[in-house]
Amino acid sequence: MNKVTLDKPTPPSHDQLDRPFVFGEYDHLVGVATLPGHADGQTPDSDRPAIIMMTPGMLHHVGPYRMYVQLARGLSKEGFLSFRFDLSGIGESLAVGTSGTSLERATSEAAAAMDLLQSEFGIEKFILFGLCSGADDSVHTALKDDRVTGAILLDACGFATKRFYWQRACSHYLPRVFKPFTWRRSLEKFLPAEDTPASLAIGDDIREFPDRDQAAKEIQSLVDRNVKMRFVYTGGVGHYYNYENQFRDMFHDVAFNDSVSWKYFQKFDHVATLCEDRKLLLTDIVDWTKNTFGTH
Amino acid sequence: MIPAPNNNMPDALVSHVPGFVGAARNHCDSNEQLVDWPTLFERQCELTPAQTAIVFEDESVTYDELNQLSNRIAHYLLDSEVVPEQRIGICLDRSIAAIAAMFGILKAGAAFVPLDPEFPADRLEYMIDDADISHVICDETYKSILPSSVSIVTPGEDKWSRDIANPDISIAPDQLAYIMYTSGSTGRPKGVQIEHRALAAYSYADASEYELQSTDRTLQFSTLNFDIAIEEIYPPLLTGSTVVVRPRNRSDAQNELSDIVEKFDVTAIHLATAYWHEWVDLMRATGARVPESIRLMVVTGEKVSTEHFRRWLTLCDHEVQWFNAYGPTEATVTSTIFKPSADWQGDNMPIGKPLKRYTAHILDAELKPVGKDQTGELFIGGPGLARGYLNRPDLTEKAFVRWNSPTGEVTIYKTGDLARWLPNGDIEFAGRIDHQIKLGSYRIEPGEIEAALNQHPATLESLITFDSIDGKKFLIAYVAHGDNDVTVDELFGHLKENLPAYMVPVRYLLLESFPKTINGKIDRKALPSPASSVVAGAGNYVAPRTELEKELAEIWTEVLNVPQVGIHDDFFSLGGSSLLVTRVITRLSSQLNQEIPVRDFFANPTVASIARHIGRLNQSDQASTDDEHEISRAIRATLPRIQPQFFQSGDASLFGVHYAPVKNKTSHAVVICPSYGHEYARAHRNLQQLGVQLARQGCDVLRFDYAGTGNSTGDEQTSTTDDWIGNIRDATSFTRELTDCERISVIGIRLGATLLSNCDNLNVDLRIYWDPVCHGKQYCEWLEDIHNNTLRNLTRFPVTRKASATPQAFGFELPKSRKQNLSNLKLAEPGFGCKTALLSSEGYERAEFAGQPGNGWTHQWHVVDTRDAIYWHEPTYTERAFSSPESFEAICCLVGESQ
Repeated sequence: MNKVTLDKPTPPSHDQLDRPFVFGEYDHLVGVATLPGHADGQTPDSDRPAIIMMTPGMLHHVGPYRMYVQLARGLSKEGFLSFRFDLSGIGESLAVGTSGTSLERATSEAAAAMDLLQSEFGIEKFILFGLCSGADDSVHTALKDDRVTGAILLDACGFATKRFYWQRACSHYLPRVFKPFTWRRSLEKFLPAEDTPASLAIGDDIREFPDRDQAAKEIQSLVDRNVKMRFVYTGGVGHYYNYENQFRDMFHDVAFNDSVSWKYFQKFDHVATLCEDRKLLLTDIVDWTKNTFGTH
Repeated sequence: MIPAPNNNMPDALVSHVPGFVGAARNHCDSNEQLVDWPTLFERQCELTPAQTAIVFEDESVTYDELNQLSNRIAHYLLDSEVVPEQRIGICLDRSIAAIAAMFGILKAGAAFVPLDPEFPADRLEYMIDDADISHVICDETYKSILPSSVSIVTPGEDKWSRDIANPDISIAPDQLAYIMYTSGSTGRPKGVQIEHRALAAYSYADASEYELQSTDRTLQFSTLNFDIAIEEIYPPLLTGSTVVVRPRNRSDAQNELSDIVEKFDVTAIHLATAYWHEWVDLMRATGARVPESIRLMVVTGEKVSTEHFRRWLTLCDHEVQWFNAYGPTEATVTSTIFKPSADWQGDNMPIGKPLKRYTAHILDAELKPVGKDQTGELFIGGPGLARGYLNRPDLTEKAFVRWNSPTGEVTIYKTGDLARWLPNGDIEFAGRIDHQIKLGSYRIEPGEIEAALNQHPATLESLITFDSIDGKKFLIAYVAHGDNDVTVDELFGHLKENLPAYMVPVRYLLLESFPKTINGKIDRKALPSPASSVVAGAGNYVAPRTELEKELAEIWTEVLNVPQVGIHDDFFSLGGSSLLVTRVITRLSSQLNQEIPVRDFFANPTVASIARHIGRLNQSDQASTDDEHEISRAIRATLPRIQPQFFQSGDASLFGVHYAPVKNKTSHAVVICPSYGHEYARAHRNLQQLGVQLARQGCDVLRFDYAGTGNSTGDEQTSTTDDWIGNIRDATSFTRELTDCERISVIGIRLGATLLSNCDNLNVDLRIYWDPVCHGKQYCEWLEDIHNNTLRNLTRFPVTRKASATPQAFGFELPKSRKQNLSNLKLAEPGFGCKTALLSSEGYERAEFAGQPGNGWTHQWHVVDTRDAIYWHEPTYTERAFSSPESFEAICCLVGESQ
């Protein structure tokens, strides 16, 4: 039988670093703040930016395989406050019929999260972390809100370059030529597809990238504003990004300075399923944050 | 060449069956020896075995196939030792299987009793108890609403007997065929007992009068709970013709009925009068014509508007046989019919003459025939009469009276309708003697609603009547409450809990006391006008703001016949029905030149939301920010309060989200236990929505994360299943303290269900195990399989990956100690002294469940099978979120029942 169960529930322990919040104009958004590890009940350092995590696709604020919780705890150890929250209609947050495009809605709700942290902890600068569509939302928010001083963008938008096609042929198609099951899968595409039950249909969450010139203009605008950015790509988006310095080639016309860096994890999948991949990915993010925005 | 059966119809009804049981008893005064219905059907099957009997969506069956399927069901019932006249409930949606089930029951010598799944649970329970129903043939969807006392059979190929031969049993013509429940004045519905001979006599009379042919295709449009369904199914299938069952899904077409008729080449339609009125209006508004395929139109149930009949004639480009049919359930569906000539002119549509073998009599209070032009009460006689009311000899005696006719003493049914003879021998309907109300297809005894109202503690007396505008009737409730404080919404809510929706008035007049006559009876004439009534929910009235909203609100006000409609009022809460949706859509088309499909209306059931929807369709949505806010606020007001918080369990702080109901709070709380690993994320959205839905039902709900999972603290690698079982116990205690609820239900999904099954001393009222993991060991092996396949199959990773030194399974670390710990977990046998339900979705491997030690437990569970496809084990869907509407419905019912 359970050895740790108490007869009655007791309040959370004092070293609890996580604090849940309900916010938004209609009290419909839910998020969890993780305080810096040193805080222990004290007010976090308001001079340090807080990290706001934007949810990917339809996943909720715990993140794929708990990635966001693990990141929050890693950042906490380095003295950063982070806040993970659900966009309306996703995870714990309720849909209340707010209008506008999904990008506009995400931007408005991210702003509400910043307002909350500002009023609760006096923090005025923010770093946005986003995976997949969360990265798109982060860029859009950063462009609209001057409080954003940093962005960590995991598998953000990408565009094929000449070298991309060569790499695609060599490192994607060639290895598969000798795999019987990839042939089988290719042939299966010509067979009638089995009906997916309606209850299991994939949501319409297709990402819409801006065109390359627009994306370059947006990045340039953020560079000019001295927003620190870390672009991280994985092998999970091999259909549009597949070599180490593709980012440089994609945006060859952007006048980068040292505020922008990028990294490519070639073997990883899109959500870092393997525990060792996730550990490396999170270490990279925490290290970059620490090195860019200073240790405590 | 298929013979026209109606040529030999009179003879076909007379028994040639050896062993026929003598003269009919009770009300049959004919000397004819009538046969049972299965015999007639089997004869037809011999005549037209290959002819299509039923079409339903993309499926169809021949007469021979339908007969064989019915026989298999009959043999199954006979093997189950069903005895003659044993009552079998049917709780089925329209389908081929549903019709076969009815026939199978008849062929087994038993009697079917339609049970409407829309009815409140206690009404169904009463009917089941009253009819002494032990078995119910039921769609998967509705299993959860039936009491556990009945044995439930879901239609399925594997269930029925393999024997396809006609059962070799003798069915007496006076044997019971079915029981149809109608509203009863004493507060309880009453069961009308129809015998085989009545069904047979009616079916042949109907087929003969309407000249049904083997080429006909009759639409089966009604639910199986009305006797219109009998009319749509039984006579056509004695003529070699085809029954076309209305498809399950709503059509996108603006005129759904015309769309179905045209799509399936329907030739014959039977419609409730109110629905026919709507159809005529809709065709007229949209410029549509009566579909070419229709040759027979039968309108029944209420008084026909002659104006609509004239409109109908202008919409017909070809000859259509049009009939006005009249008949109480007690005389088996239809007793008289009237066929107006093309040049018919009149202000009142007569109800015509009796069907073949039926008799009609208009008598005075002393049961003497009235003279020409005089009004009297209409009585019906003949072999179509019911046996009487089940378990109600007093009512039977009053309604089925012995009468000295010129040819001798016979039994006739006292309809309660006033009528007079017209010079040409037709009958004209002249109203009701009592206060019975016919509303659409429903016959309502006001006394039944009054009895329910009187149960409310604030009610001293009540009276139900109706108001009528433009031929559309609405119930009005007058309630005397003295000094007791009560609101219209409270009374409305009380009735909704106790009566079917069609019997719940939307308009109320609250009085301190009723005006009385000198005899002490309620003085109806002195009651205030219905125009001063209050609509349930009017306290939240928000006036229309734009021209479009005003126009929409006006349309709603007129269609719903309510004094006012606020922009956030729900159409269906105001008494709107699918029938009235059609009327609104007609008006939108004719008045606003705005065409929208029915489906869009269902998705936007308030004036504000439909106005916004129309605005967007026209790309002219000028909604201001203020408007947007108001709409969002209105939507938010319907959703629960969310309270995320941490609570302690052992060394861990567990994250939980409490959904608190905003209104209708009950004393019932629900704890939801999630699954583990990738299934935690897969089910998250669905469980969140379940929490919201339960909160809207009035429950407090807590969803939480186990130690080391989700947002909770605790060591991800070392937390054990014992810790998690303790977490469930602590979450339950926390919920009890947080909400102060007396009753608690706990729902576990997958591994959460398994953990829950091992959690004793919870002291809860209901446990629901949703697709439980039966064997921890198999579960771990399966997780590892998925993980290893993913490493190799190049679907997730760009290159094949090797297993690393970190023991893990699909996204989560799975060290040896945890694997061992999970492997030891098994689904535990029920036995906690509370109701335990097993919820099983499509694709859930029940075989795994059946293989559990202590095999055969399923008899100890309340098992609910749903058609929600989740497919936990299917690699294609391993990470796919899912929706599960049937499971939600089942859970809400189970939780509701235990309140």
